[in-house]
Amino acid sequence: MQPSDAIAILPEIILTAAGILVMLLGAFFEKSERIAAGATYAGLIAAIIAVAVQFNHPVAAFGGVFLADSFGCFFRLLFLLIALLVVLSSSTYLHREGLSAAEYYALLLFGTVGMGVMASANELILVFIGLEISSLASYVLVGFRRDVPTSSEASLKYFLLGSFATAFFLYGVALMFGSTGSTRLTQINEAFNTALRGQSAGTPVHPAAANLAVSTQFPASLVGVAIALMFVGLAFKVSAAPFQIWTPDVYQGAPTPVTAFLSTAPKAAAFAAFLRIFMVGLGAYSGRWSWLLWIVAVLSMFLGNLGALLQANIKRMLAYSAIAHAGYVLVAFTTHSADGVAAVLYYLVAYAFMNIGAFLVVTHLGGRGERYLEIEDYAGLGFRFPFLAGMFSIFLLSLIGVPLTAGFLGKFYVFRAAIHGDLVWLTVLGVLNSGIAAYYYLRVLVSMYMSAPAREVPCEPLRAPERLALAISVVGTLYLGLFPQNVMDLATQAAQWLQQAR
Amino acid sequence: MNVLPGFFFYLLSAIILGGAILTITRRNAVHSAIWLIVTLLGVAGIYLNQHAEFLAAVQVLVYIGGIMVLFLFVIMLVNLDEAAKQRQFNHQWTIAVGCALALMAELAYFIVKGRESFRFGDTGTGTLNPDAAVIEFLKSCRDIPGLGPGGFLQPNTELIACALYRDYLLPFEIASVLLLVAIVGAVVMAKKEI
Amino acid sequence: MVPISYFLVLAAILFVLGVAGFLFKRNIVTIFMSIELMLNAVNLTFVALSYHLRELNGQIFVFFVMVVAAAEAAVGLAIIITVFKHRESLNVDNVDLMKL
Repeated sequence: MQPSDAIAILPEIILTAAGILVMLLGAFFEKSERIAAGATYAGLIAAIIAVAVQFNHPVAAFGGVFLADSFGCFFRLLFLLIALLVVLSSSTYLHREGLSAAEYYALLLFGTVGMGVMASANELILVFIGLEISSLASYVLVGFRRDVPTSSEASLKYFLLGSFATAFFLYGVALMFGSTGSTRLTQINEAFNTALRGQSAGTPVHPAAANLAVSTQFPASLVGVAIALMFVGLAFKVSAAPFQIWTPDVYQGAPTPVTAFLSTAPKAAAFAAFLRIFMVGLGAYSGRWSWLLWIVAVLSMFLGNLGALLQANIKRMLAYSAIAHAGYVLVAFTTHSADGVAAVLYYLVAYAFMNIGAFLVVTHLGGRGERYLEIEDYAGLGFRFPFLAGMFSIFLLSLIGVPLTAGFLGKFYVFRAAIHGDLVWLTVLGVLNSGIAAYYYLRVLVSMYMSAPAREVPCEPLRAPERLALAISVVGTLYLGLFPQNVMDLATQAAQWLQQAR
Repeated sequence: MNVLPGFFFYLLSAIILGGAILTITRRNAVHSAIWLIVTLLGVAGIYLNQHAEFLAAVQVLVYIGGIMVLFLFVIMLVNLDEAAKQRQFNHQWTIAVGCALALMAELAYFIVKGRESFRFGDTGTGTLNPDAAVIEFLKSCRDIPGLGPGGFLQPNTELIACALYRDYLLPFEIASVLLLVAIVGAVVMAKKEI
Repeated sequence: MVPISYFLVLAAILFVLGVAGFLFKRNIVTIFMSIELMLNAVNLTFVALSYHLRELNGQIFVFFVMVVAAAEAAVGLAIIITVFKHRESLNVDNVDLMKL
């Protein structure tokens, strides 16, 4: 290990140290909530600075196992930002529900470490370990309200189905290892390119590639089944249909701030791994997997949006809409071009701001014990709490994709990339779905401003951390909708880096 | 001479598959766990057969000695009598059997179709992962016959150690975070009062 | 020598048995055991391919899968205990508080 290696994983080291510190503070101080929160903010901000410094100095650390490139740094910044917003929005919630803050923050920080590792890993072993760290942390966070049966039930469902999907992913990795002789993404890519170019190519870089070059026939069918199995595992993690079954139950049962976290950070991390594995590792085989993405994208959009139409619970509705949004991201992914990847990254950032904002309002209005989660509880909200209702309206309009908000430009970039990639039908179906989606978001908006309250819903004033989180979310949503250029430049830079790696 | 490897393969396969079938069909969870241990032992046998001695030892120590004991402990902790009386399979078992058969057919199709493709390494021309420097280092430690490129992944434990602490140092270190998460998570979920 | 494809077919059958167990058992602990069966099938594939290709990576991967399996077992069994505390039953069909 060299000093440069340590610098490359400095954000992860900082986060791990902060997580351990938070737990120790929780153990030694009687009233540890504020101190633990303070240490968490400090760790997250230090890690954000560390990543920001790395952004323009890409390095391959640990002999090429870990790539701190602009693609990885883009995602790590996104995870840290999400973690910061979630920590800000959950301090009041934890106090209200009487949950132990130290362990909650520590698990959040460790989960962020796992996601950062996933986004920067060039080695499938590392992707797998990062995935497991973030998954295990998520399973526990989902079941964090242990006294509530729905919470532990959601945790159990998430755990069993998550492990099931992980086993599929691993089986795919094993067969991929069998067909290419390597678990390193760049080497897998080299093995494919060598095999596809034929034996006349120059000297292969990896010994296993030599085996492939002399083989009479490339194990195409084995690669096919390996791709399919890895696809199943990753599609589960991004909650794409038809692997979305767990999403509504888990999102409903989890504590609301955790739902906000789950719907943005681990999903973005899974997309990061998805992009790196399929664009870098399996880029040479894009013809074999892009039609799979096409089908899954269409299914996710339709199942998500049609499912959301039927929901009475706001968390379940947002869960179904999360499935649909995963579908939009997959539309951009299907193009497998630099354009498409940039659109994916932009959409994930936009979605993070608007969705965390929306869940923050849901958390606040839910009240003690999360009692007020039905859509009818939102009736007349516009008259009673104009400020909160206004904020919620901005987030919902952004989720619909109304111009001047982040959601609009996110969808615009996605569909533009799809048109450039000659995916006309996919674009048509995507736009159609945006229309369906408008219906259920508008239903909430209409009931907020045009109907009388069905029952009395108490609401405490917002506290400082929540105000800050809400302000950041609103500013982010509007900024991304009005001035997309800065973030889009970063996304394009990251996407081009990914293309070069091939 | 040539009969023996085949004999061991079929014997171990029978143990593994028999154990697996009994694991998923026994009504009593304790019986399932015991049969799972039989399967795991069979898998450890295959590891030995495939020159993965270190993994065979870890399989017995960690899987059987650690994980399965944890399973048995939890089964003892929760109420079993009631579970044993209930119906064993859920309502959707017909769908489940259909799915399993479909998956089996799919995997069998691909493996049979891809059978010829395994020819590429039949001659065993692959090389050891550790490079010449590692081999020199190992040779300097003690006298190891037959060590070198194209060898049989021997001495297994030494080579794994070299790979773990050299090429895979980062995954090895990050795994400690994973274990920390597991400890914290298990305590958070199972403890009465935090 | 036993051909490599025999090992892969053995692993595939083991994997499918794990999937079958996962899909039709009712006891949560046994469902979790089925996942262990699936992981072992994966490990078997890795070890066989590792020997076949004379590549150590596969064995390293198996080592990490075992580490993860241990961590997963600790968390998973803790979750199972929590669920059991709430409903005094380990039947998955009873885990139905949230429905469409």
